[in-house]
Amino acid sequence: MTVQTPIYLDNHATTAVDPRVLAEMLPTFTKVYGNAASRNHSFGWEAEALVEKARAQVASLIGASAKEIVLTSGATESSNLAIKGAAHFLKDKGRHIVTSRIEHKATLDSCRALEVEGFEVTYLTPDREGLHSAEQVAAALRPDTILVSLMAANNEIGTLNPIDDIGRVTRARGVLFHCDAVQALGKVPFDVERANVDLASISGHKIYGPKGVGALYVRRKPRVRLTPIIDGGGHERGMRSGTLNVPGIVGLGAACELAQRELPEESRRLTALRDRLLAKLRAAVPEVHVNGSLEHRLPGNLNVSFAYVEGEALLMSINKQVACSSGSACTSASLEPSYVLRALGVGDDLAHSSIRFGIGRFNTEEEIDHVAALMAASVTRLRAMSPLWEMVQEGVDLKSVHWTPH
Amino acid sequence: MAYSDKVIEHYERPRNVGSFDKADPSVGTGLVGAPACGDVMKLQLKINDEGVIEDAKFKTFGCGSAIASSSLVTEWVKGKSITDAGKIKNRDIAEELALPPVKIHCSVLAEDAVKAAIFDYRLKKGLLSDEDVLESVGTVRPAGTEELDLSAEDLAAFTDEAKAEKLLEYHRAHGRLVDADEARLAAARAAADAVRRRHEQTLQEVA
Repeated sequence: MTVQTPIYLDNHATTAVDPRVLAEMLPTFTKVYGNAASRNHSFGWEAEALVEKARAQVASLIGASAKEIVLTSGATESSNLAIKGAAHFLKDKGRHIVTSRIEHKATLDSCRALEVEGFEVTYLTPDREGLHSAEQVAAALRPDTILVSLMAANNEIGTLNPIDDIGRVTRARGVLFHCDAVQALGKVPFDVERANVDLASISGHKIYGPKGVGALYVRRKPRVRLTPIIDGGGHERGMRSGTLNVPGIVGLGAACELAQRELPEESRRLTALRDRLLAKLRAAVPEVHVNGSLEHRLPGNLNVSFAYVEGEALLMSINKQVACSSGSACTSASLEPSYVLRALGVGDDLAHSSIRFGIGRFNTEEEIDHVAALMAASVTRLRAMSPLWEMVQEGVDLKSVHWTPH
Repeated sequence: MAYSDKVIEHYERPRNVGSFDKADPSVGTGLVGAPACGDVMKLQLKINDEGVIEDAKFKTFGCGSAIASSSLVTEWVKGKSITDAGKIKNRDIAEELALPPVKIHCSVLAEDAVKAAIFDYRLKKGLLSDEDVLESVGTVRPAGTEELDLSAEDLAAFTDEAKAEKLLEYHRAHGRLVDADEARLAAARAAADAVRRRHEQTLQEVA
């Protein structure tokens, strides 16, 4: 059987909209196009009803009540609102925040912005597996700590933090817990009650919904209060003004409902595909290093370093047929390799050699087999022209070589 | 990032991938870059007695632009005298391959690789002046002293020692008189040892 190329294996970056989601959205463009805030006519009422249905669908997926869902433009906005909003509201209570060096930039840069305002931020370093423990979080808490922001699943290496344990610590110490649940949502069980999460960022386009829509879970019992970052008409109980993106919200809701229904089966399927990919790669080429814990990991994530070949060169050799991404510096403008891999203590050389595969709902076993064969051939080809591979074959210890950094 | 057609062409069909015997006296080897920076180039030139480059081979760990830059220079240097090959400029490489600004360092590395390979050949053949040999030694910071706050004078002492060692080795390899070199090395070593002793105490105190 021939597979259709290009094959999309970058499902941590974004996902295709599920056709079932699109079908729910389409009427909102031309038929139910009212402003959900219009209270005096049927167009508004119908739009509002769709929004409330979607809000309930989002809430159901995370074990929340619909009243705890604030709809936003996406998870970057959600995390900005959660972190800045909570910090600004609680600034008289304390000014210390705990987060991790491997959080998403939306979290890190929100924390940086608060540092400029005089807040103090502790950036926890993950262990070599990419994980944080509840004990590590507990040890970082101070009397003036107001917020802990840690992700459920990492977007590069897919590692899963023990958020249930972390939530017990923050709840016991009376500190707010914001969790970036973007990558975990719909992929592994995520329940705001079990994890004692107070704030959770959610995105539509990572779960086969549309781009430009997301949500922030804001706990009501005990009530979490935020200072809004967008002011205006007082939508979303004043926490997020702006006309509601009804098509996007309907899509987000439909995507959540599908994810909830299909999670157990889909999780098993993706894990099997991921394990198959790794097994095939390892059988075909030596020196394939998995970055981050394989045990505590999202089903569809595989982040590996192919030692002695550079990640961007590898992507270049396959990018007509496969879409995935690399932690190599060369794929970014900064010339620095992935800050996530560096924080784990992965050497810069292996960070430059890393590839992230994000397997998703629409990938098949045939595609995985095709990608494995293609990757193995490319790694072999590039190693044949790699001076590092040649030196290692000759028995040279690369650490003993006097390199000339540039 | 979109690649130019020329980069893609060299990447997909790289010219002159391979290796020569490093020990061959007619071969000059340049190894530049660092794994931690994401690119390492090994360029080898086979040079005849007239100083003309007869053949060239490369191996590169790096992105597509780095591979293309090295492939291109192997084509350019063939048939050139080492003097002319040493004049190849990174901006010519960058222009030919239409490298974007963020990839200019790949062309710089290719230029450096050519220079390093020519230097290695001339070192092997005894064609370098003493000044060339001395200049090739960069600032030296001995292993284990990363934590120390070394003054410029301290670093100069270590560097002088390394330079004296290099020159002695060079002269020995080519059967030249080495008495003066040995005296020079002894003096430089004594100065460097003094710095080591001074810091040994500090290191022990810290420990």
